[in-house]
Amino acid sequence: MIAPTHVSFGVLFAEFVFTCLDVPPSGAALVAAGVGSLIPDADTPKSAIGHIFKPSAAIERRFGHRQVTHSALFLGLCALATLPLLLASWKMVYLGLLLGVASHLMLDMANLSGVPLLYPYPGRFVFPEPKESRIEVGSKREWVLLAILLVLVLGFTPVSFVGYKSLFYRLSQNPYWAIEEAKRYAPTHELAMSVQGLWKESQIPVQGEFRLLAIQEDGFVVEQQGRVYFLSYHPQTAVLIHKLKLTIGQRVTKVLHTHRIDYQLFDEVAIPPHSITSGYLFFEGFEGISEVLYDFSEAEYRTLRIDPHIGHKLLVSYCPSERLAQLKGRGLFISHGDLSFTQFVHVP
Amino acid sequence: MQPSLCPFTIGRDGELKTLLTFCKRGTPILVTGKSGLGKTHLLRQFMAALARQKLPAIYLDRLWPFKPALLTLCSSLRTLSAKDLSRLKRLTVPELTQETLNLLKEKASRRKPLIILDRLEDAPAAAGDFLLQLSSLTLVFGAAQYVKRTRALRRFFWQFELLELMPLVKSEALTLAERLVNERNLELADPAFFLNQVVSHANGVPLAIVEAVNRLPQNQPVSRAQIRELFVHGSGVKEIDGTPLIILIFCLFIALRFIARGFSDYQAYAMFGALGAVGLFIRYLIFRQYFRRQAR
Repeated sequence: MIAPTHVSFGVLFAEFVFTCLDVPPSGAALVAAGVGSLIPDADTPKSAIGHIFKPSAAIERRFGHRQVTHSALFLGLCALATLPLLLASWKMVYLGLLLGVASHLMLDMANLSGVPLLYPYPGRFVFPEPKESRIEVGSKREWVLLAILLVLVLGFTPVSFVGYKSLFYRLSQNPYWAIEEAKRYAPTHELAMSVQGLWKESQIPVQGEFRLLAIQEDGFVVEQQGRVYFLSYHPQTAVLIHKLKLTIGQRVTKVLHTHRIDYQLFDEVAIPPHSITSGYLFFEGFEGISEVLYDFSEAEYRTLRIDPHIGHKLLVSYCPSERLAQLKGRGLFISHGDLSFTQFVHVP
Repeated sequence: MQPSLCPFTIGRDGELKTLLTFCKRGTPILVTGKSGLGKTHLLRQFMAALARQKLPAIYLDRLWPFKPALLTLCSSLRTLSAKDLSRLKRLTVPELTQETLNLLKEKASRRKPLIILDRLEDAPAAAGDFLLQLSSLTLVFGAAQYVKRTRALRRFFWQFELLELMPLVKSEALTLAERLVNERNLELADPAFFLNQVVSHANGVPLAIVEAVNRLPQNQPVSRAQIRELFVHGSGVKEIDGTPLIILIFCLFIALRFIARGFSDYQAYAMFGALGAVGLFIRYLIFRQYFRRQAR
């Protein structure tokens, strides 16, 4: 095969493997795959790499073309020779290079002469087996193959960069795939989502955008106008979702503060702004906060609730700072409590 | 007998000695080996060695088509006049078979003749009975690519000791190529490159080496480019169908699909399911090739 065919197949093969492994490829890894796909042809001065690689004539003289450099042995030698890349933490480049070499061997199986994969064993692996179906170097058939490969590379490169999980989400926009998509960005970005569907209780169409507070195994905890909801593909969802579109917002850093409270008025607790809070509080003064505790609509997620087994224990989960602040100024006394605040700090 | 492609023998001295030993011992032997390994050449060298020892032998290069083969055998057994030959030609195959056996019996009454049958893999099933009787009357040496297991012929093949020809080792292949180059007085731009090319392409098959050398121009220098594009004879090529490897990769996708399902990774389940479907389509394309070829 000619060099462009090898390079395009090498890149496509590397992209395919990276996609299967759900690893977004780096540009350097794809360049390495392209270079790797040319390396086995270093055994002839006629090849693209042979023109610049001077010892190619000597290799050809000693072993011949498509012999030792087109074998599993050579692939193993390449893996060993390029180990420094792995040690230098260039894992993707290392993998890309080896995938490129492997792609060359695979593609050359479709050549008329095949490749001696098990060199020094003389058997030459060919695919497909009927000789008339194989591709002669520089033939019209090879140009057709090159055209197909180029189209595939163009189509597949964006897919490999977003990953197949993201692709499924983008095609379907259902909550199941969206969870995986959100997992990728949630640690570093502020996320919002616009939902098409119906409120489960009222059956009114959902409108507007929700801010993502947290991802759970089977759904999202989101906030809209100070109210928190749980959106899921499970029956306990607040919204019957038809489509769910994630919007990736600003870059944020999540800062976690933990706060232990002992014999203290809640008014004295400092609540970081733009944060969500989880934890528990043993309290006295239920009458003062009952208004806040019963201010949840049917569809809402109970961010504040009394432990059903211990009457003076307040459970806090994913509670926005604005709502938690509503507990202040109500004479709430905390005998013991543990809260963790996750603060979203915008990265400039 | 056609002249041999190569006037000398390299790396088959042991086999030649074995043939002569078995001949003296009166044990039938069958030389087996793939096409191009030099079975015919070995038998011819063996014939020459017998001739040097003034031991008569009859060589039959093929048994198919059967009737001409029988006529050749008859004419080897007895000098036939034109009248005899035209009479034999008019006989049916069973009649001619009987006539040949009669001639053999007549010859065997004086001394058990040695008959060398080449290309026994082509022997027709109809020749089964004849070959059995032939081997009871004569000492049969043969050559075949493989031992035939068909019902009509297996009893004939059972009697043989087997002598399997192996490809030449690298040093022998190099010697053969060098000697051929010297015999043909070839002017090579890079003899070492040429020898390595020949040896690596031929995989120890003598016919491939001989053909590669014979295809080069004799009266002009052979350039490096010509050496690079050296003719590769089919007998030296050992192809392994890579289709199972490709099918195995798609089987892996199907297996990964179920593994993903087991780990509740529905995205991977969906993707490997899709790849499995692509594999099914490729499998269809592969098998269409095979069926088309079979139909041809």
